[in-house]
Amino acid sequence: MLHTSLNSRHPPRSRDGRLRTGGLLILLLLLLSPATVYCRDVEIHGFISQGYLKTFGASYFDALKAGESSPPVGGSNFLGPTKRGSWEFAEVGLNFSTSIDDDLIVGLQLFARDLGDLGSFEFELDWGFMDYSWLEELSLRLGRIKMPYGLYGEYRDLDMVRPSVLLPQAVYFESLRDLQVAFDGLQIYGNLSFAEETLGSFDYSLFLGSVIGPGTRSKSSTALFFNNRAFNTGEGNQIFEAQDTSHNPYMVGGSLQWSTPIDGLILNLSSVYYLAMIRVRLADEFLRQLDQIGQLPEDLQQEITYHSQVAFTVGSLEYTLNDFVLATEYSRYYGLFRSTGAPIIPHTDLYQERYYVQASYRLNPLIQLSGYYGYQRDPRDVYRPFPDQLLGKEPPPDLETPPLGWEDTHPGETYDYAKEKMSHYQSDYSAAIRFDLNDFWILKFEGHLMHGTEQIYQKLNPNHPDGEEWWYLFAAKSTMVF
Amino acid sequence: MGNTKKRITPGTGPKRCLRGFVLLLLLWAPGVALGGEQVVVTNANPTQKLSRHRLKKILLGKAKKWSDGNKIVLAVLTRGPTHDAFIKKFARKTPKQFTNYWRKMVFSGKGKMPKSFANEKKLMAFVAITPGAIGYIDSATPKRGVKILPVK
Repeated sequence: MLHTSLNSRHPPRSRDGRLRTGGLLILLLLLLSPATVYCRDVEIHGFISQGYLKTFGASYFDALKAGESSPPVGGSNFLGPTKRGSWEFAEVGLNFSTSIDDDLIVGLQLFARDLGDLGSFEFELDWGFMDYSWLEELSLRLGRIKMPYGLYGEYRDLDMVRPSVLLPQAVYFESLRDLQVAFDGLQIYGNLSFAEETLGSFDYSLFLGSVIGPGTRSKSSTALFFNNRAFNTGEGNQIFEAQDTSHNPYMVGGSLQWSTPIDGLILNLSSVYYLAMIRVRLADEFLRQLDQIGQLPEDLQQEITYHSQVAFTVGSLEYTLNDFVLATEYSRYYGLFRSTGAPIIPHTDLYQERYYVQASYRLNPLIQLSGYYGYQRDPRDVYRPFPDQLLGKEPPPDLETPPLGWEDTHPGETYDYAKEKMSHYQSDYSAAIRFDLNDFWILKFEGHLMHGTEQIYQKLNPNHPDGEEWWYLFAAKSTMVF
Repeated sequence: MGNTKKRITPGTGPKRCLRGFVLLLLLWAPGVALGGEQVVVTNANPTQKLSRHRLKKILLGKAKKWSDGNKIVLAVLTRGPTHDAFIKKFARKTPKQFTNYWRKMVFSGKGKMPKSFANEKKLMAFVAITPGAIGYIDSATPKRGVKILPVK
């Protein structure tokens, strides 16, 4: 007999949701309390961004060159319904902060974003914490805190502070944002400066807490990541959907930034590890299909859990020389997801190597140019002369052999390794131009040439799962800040 | 036609050279801001001098207090050649980079925006009455209520 979960249509408000609302109310009351208002002024800042994304397949331009007047756009949806052009690309932030005394600051930021299925423009607490500065070498933050991750993790939602529309997705993939953007907990941080002439200075951060986000909202990027995984076992319908009841017991991390004695050179190392329980609900149609072929286990629960362990590590370098900035980051993602529904719903994992190199140059107060090359791959599936051959690694023995069961799911087709492989890597060649129209308003245009489809989600492309090996992305965005 | 040549008193040439040399030495001596920008603090601030590294930390919000325990309150100009030159020299950033740096701090919750002023007169007036305040002006600007903090 199939066990189904109760209250599936109207799940109770999650514990994380109650905590989120309660924390927000406490911080707002603290900020706006008479004591606060009499002690210090409350500073208010904000921003609003609106963007546009459009993708094309290489086939579109080939058809135009061949003389077709209205060819299909080809390619795939990326981060949203981008094949038809998407305005679902907006952010709004509003923050309040005040000093309780010389050592204690309280602040919070409300944030809403719209990015296709990732965000429904509902205001949430982006960050909100108390910051106690005891010493320059040792200070504390308590509350919801932006997660130090690489050079730009704490600022990833701030369009106005970067030259490009999209951060290099190789390292700052929007579909993993909710695991990397903020945490609830405690942070110890400080600046260590001794013998600056010879050693420079160090900014460190250690943090412990939990992440509110892995699947707790159906619009979270983590939910999209898992819902996309639901297609991996075959084509056709999605076999499960992430639930709002997921939670993350704890996470721990640290970062160290070295402002070196070489003027303009910064090095950074960040690492985060966390556990999560991602709850998914098996689709009724999938269960009916299993039942029809007599493969439905008696004790299979309709709601199963992925016990997940995830680790992100990124090493970074940024060099600034007047108006020229060079940045490069290299990261490794590891994830183990143990399914309580195995073997019907198998275990899965995540192993990715990601890096980018970016350069930007400000021509004048109005115009800044930038470009980057980003790359990501699953090193187990994609062999590259550099660095694999350089490190003496041999190509995987079954590089050209179709995976087990491929012929059964693709009757009559010829296995095309290049086509299969392209879903295990993605290169991103990008160029952007930024206009600072005044001190408070910017406008950007950006183009990408993509090779590979590792970041293309079948969840966003249910009718065209394969995509095209080469495809294009155009992005534009405008931001106002005060 | 009269004699238009200027009479040179014996001994004035070497004196003028010496005065010029001393002036040059003073300009290049450690503790005097080069290029015309000067750091100013309130008269009550007991700090006598500032290292370039310490000043950079102050400009980037990483230094929190003076030695007397007063909180450091940073005052900056919004624009202008004094601001551009000072920020480039001591924060090691262009004006745009400096603005973006502080926006990162504010919108991530890591700091509060420095007090900003449209001109040196207003900046100086703020520094003069604010305990712990520090700012910068052009050396040609008349000082009122503040003292110069040499940077070495």
